[in-house]
Amino acid sequence: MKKDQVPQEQNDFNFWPLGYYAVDEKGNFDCVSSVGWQATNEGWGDRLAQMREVYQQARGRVERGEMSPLHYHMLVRRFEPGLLASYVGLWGFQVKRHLKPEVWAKLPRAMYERYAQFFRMTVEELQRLPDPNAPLPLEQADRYKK
Amino acid sequence: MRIDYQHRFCAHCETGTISGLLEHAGIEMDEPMVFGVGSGLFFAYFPLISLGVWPLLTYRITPGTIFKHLVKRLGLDLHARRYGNDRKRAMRDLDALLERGIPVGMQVGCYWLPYFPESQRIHFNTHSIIVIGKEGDDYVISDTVMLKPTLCPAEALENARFPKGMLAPNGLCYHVEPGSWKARDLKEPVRDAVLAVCKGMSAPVPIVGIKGIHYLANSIEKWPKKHDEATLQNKLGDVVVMQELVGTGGGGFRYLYAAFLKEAGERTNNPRLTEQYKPMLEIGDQWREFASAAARLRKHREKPGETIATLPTMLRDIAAREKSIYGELRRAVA
Repeated sequence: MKKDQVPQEQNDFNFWPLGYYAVDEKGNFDCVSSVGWQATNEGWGDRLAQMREVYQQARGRVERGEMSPLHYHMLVRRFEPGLLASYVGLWGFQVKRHLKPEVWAKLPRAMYERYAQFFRMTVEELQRLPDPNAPLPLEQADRYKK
Repeated sequence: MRIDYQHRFCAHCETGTISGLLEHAGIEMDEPMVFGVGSGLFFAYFPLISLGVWPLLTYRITPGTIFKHLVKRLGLDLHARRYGNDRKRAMRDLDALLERGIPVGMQVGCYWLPYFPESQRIHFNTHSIIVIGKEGDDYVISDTVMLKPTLCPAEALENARFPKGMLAPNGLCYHVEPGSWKARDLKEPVRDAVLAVCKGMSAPVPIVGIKGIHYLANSIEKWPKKHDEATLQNKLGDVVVMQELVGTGGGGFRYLYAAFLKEAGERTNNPRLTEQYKPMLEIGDQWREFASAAARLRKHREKPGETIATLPTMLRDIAAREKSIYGELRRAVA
């Protein structure tokens, strides 16, 4: 790729600049930064949109009482039951059970506290769905973004 | 306290980090050289393994292998260590090294880095960064994906060093002891590295190397029959993302390797090796054209005459050209 062919097509999800090794007329290489390329912007952007869709579906399932609130809190932070289990020190099948509303309702308080502490929220917040207009938890963590 | 370290913007986090540490210690190895001497170029497609939603489609060898090859071939004094689950000791050792003015490279899970934008906070455990200082409760981080150094709270860095899940780093960090390296002839390391890439790319395994490219071509051929429209779009999008977005330097690392061939040929007085950078650059362009065609097709913006069946043909073309270039490279370093 020549240096002047490096694409500069901005995306709307704030991705890092991409580095491309491109050559000048004399054949010297340099790492050129690019703000994005339409092909990859679409590929990544579509997956992000699908994630948002998944969050909405999870919210619906919790509202209808098909799933426990843990289902929503877990998905919106991009965790799978197995991975979440390894972080909170449980087995995957235990986390999967906790996704059932009837099991969730009967858990000891210590178990709620364990999840709440990991998600950095109170037990009360863990028991309900957040305001639909509130920013997603991963969006709130942009304190150090420059 | 901040070490006087020249921040670098690089194409790939792992090679950029190692190269940054080496150049800081006065060892002249830029990113393409690190990638090449670490024999990083590869291809593999594992359709049954997935990283989150993405397929395991890779254009480079497994994380950490570049590092190992480099240490072995150059006889570098790169100190690497893991900490199991001993977080306190891992952070104490980091502070001690920073105190001595030594930048420390480490493998981290990017989910836990708060300076990452939300769109990239995924559970991916093999990101590499360099810590170059500490200011109060914040560490100063030189991340090669960024245009300048950034700050990261100590607690977040600790979490990032000890994530769970696939390929967990367990606090893996490495540094170069100052003045520990003696300049050595690059001829032999470059030869070994080039031959290793040729060997890996012509491995007799159906899903890696040249055969892997054919395997991907055959798979794509079957996708329109096997999947509905939405899945097909996703699958094509994922191929584009794995090839061009995740720090590959463009063209699935082929541009980066072309830069290596040019520099390595010049530094070892091997014009036959230097010559090969042009065909490698063209192969990179072909990969990019393939990604671009895949992106067009999935959004129905295809050029006249382009169909999904065009993609496997392009891949087979690439495979044939790559096969011939590895033959040339073998002869060039022999």
